[in-house]
Amino acid sequence: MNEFPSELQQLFKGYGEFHEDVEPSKDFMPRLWAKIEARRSPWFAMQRMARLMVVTAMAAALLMGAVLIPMMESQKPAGFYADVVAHDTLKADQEYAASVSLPDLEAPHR
Amino acid sequence: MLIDPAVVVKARAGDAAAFNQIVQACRKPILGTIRRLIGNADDVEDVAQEVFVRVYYSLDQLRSEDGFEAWLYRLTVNSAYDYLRRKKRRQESRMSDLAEEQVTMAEAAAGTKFSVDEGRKAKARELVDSLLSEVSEQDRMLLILKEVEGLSLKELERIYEVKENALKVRLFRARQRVLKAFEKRDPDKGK
Repeated sequence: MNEFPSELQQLFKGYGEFHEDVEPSKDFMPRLWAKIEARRSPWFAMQRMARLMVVTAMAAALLMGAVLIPMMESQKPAGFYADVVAHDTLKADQEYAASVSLPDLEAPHR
Repeated sequence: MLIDPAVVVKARAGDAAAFNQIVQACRKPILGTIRRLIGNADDVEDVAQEVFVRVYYSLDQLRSEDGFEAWLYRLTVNSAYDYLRRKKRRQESRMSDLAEEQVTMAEAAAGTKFSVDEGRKAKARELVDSLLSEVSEQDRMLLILKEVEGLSLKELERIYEVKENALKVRLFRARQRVLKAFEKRDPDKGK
């Protein structure tokens, strides 16, 4: 359908005329320049910067979440509770074994 | 609304008189377009001023002076859309703040009968408003620009910066929804 039926076309074409003309108020230009000047002020610049910082912080948090959560998930062993306990026990054993230094077997016994 | 490209160049260079000239030449048609896009007479001037503030601060981003009018329309559509989004948020938080006109639109959408005293224009306007309430804000604005403002697909392509085919598809869907709503109101029509 590239066009409306004629009745709807007329209705839409007339829609512009159905609204009364909007005349600009007498103080349109002074108010406009006041708004332009207001946006030039340091306060407005600070507000914009603060908004930008909030958006940046939110984006960074989302990005970190998107990167870190899958990384943390991948480090966890998948499986049942018993597998998880076994994995943790094994890890603890390895850490304990690494911290204990064994005597040098090559050294002559006293 | 014909703006001499030389005036745009001057305004871009910071000439306040040239900027004033642009505003004086464009404000009336822009006010009319905004009136039709937002459907609320009270806030038209505020939205128009927001458009011109944006024009002032982003004139240096305009790629070519010849494309000024399409660019101005783009800023107008964006400002009107921002206004409607803000208004929607406010409405969601405080339903009691509904403007009288919006209540009428809502009633029209719900199929409430209008009083017989209302004028033909008001009735027709409300009918179009209710039909347009069947589509999203973006599609509503697109339909107004195409069907009411009479912009061509080429002009819309420059405003929305999307391909003509994408616009055609979007217009097709929006027209279908409006037509369906129109037929629902009176099953004998639209055939």
